[in-house]
Amino acid sequence: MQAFEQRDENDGHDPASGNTMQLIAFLIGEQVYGVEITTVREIRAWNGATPLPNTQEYVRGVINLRGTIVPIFDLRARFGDGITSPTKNHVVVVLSVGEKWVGILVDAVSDILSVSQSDVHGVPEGNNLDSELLNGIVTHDNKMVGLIDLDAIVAGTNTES
Amino acid sequence: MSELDEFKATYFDECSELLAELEEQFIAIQEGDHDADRLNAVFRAIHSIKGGAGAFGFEQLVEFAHSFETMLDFVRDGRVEMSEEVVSLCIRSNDLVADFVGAARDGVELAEDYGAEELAAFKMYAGEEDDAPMEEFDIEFTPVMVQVGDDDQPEKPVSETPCDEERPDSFDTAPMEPGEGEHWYVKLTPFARLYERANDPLLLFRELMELGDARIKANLTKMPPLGDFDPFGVYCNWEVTLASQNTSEEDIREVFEFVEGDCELIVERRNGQVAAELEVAGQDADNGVSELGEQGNQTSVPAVDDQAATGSGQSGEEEGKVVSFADLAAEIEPAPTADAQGGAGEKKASAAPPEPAKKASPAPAKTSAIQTIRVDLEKVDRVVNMVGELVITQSMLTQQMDDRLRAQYQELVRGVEVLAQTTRGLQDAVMAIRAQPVKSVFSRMPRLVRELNAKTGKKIRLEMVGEHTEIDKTIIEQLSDPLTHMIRNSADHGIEQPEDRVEAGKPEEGIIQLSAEQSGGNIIIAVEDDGGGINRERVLNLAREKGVVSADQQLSDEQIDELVFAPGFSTASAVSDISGRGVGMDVVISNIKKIGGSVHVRSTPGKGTRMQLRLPLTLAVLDVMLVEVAGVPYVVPLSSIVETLQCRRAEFGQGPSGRQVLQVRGEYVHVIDLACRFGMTTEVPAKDRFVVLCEAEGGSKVALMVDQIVGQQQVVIKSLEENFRRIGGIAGGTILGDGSVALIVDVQGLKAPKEQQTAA
Repeated sequence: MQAFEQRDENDGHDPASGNTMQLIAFLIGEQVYGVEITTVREIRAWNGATPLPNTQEYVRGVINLRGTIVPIFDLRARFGDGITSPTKNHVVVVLSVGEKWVGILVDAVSDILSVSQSDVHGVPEGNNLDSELLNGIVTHDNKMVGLIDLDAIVAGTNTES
Repeated sequence: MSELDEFKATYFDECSELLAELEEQFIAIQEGDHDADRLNAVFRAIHSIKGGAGAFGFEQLVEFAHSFETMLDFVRDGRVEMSEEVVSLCIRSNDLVADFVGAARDGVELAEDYGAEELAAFKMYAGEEDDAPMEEFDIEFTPVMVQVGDDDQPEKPVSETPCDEERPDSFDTAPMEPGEGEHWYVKLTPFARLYERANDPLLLFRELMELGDARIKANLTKMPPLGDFDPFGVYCNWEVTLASQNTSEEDIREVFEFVEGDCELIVERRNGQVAAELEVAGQDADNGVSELGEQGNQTSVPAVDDQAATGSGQSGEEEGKVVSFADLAAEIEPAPTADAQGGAGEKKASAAPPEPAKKASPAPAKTSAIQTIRVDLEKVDRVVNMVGELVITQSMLTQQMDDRLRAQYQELVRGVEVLAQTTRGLQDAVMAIRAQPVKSVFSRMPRLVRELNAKTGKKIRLEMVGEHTEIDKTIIEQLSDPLTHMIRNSADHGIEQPEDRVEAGKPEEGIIQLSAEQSGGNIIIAVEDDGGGINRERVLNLAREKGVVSADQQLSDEQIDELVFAPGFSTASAVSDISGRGVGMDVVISNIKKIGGSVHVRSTPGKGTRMQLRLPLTLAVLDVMLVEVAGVPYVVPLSSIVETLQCRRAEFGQGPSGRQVLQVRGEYVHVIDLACRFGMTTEVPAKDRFVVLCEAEGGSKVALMVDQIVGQQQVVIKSLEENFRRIGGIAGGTILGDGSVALIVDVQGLKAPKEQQTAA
């Protein structure tokens, strides 16, 4: 509730050029990940969530987002790195994916990046989890930024197991 | 969705409303209320259904509705008596119309001869003349002669000026007989709406012509040049001079009954002088209203003149009426005259006279219609949701008010108090928007009972009480199935065969009463029959046979009665296609539980059975008990809670599987430890925990073990599925006063097999 901002699609630099996309970059540990800015609805501080019984480990529970119940996924746990022990400094990025709104729990939001479509590289074969959860990788300031595949994130919301 | 589909959807929406209204009217008629207004309402509804059906090409429906309407017309004007047979034919036909509408909606083909029997009956009552107008309605086009004012209007052909030799009566009528001096002046200015609703002025005029000798004149002054012509624009109005002695204003207005509100209609009684003056003025002013016959070399001008000349020489067949009309004519005379002199101010003329003219119509007191709008349910739900939020926020604010704040900021406190009141009011108002009378589902039941009568050979009358009781729309939607099952059950098992009834000293006709009433925060809906009551002995034996209850279990009368709701239970000695397969009554209970209601049955042997549904007023708010399990809040719907007890006072036992059971009042109940079930660990010592005894479907009980009972409150139900998915054992979520989410425990779901538990 404290740190929340809402953005429109034209916020940021260079909105005109068609092959540029803007990312919200966030951190999980040292690693930078990004999601397209147009999917981001809101960024808010971690304020606890009501745990959901009998769900996967990475489902942290549900929060009340202005009257709607939104599930929160622990991205670290989703990547198989164990459960985040969130503090007040952890951040929930609320995304709209298809018809649904979901939140992802990350360590911090770091930046807004403008990257060219042509800078997006494919995900190297080999690791199933990587290719399942990432859409691609871009380089920014010599750092690797993983593009989160949102559909893969919400895939767990459709089935019971 | 294409535009046509949208129209169709609207049409079917309207149809279902109209059908419900028809049902209501017929029931009143059946009960002996043969008021003309009722028949007119029936007529209107059937006509609207037919009209739409014609537009969409649902031929079977059109044909049936048309014949139905024709017969009703005979009934309306007294040529056919409203006998019991006719009423029952009407009611049967109404069901058939519903079937036709349903078939058209679902794209199902009904048998060619569907409703043939009724069609034949219509013909019998209405005679064979039925056939001709049908064609007129549908394809075959019989034109009406309309004179078009075409002063320098090259677009003349746009309007309807067909000339047909076969219908000479439309134009070339001989001059009127002397003595017919008074005539009716009718002016019709259609709005675009009229055409949008697929009405055709031509049909109206044709009908008007049946009343007497009509001369119709189209006024095309507003017709734009071709370049500016909008094909959907409305540029034309008509003036009709109708010479007919025995026609009353109502007769004329009745012709336009179905376009009421979609056009501006002026009906005036005029005597010759007025007409003459108007004519003269019209010519003088050269305002573009070309007088009938001016262009066409027709005989009509002399006719009008004749009429004018013999204006006051009226023969009074209906003395009383004539006098009053004469008075009226005097009363309204100044308006048209003044206006005619004004020449071009034609528009004003049309606006002014209807007021006095209305005084002439004695009966059709239009009850000022309640204005309604159609609103997408989703929009209403959004408002309901936001108000729910507001209520929570408001209670949050109120909670923050401590004594120090109260003392320090009195103005603020007052503001918060006002806010609380307003919020409450707003909540009530919003809930009222969603509320609908239960009539919409009750009205489907008479048909059911009629069908049941036919199938069982019993004589059952359905009485309905309190059908105006309002309840949340979502609940109403959920009521249809349970009520159907309950009434079927009453008809099949409750009410006895007529001969048995007579033997038992009861009237041959059985009565099922369907009633609705509000009682506090609940709506009570009851189905009560005066049948034989529940045969407890047989129920109990059957229940033991089927293993629903164990052989040594002692049950009270009430408990035995409740057994009829147990799944797979049926007492019908023979399975009929109405009921008896054991599904049905458990559907009642599961549907009702789902919407937070409860079911009770009370039976007196030999006297009858009363099944009662207790339903919440609204689904949006649920009464719950707030509990805590491992520090996490959960809520349990109050409607499913039987009692709560402390663990230290409860007696537990253990089954061979190690499964805990609770002994309460001689019953053994399956215990579910919520902490365990939800995969959490709790530090609260077992003896300090609580048991919440809940009742699941079919009256079976289950004991939930929780850490703490916090209290009771009302909550707004939120969907988990909207952004996530269903979770076993959880019915949904809700938001507590502090803004956090609590999950609603699904008692029935917890009882279900353990698959969900192992799935995670």
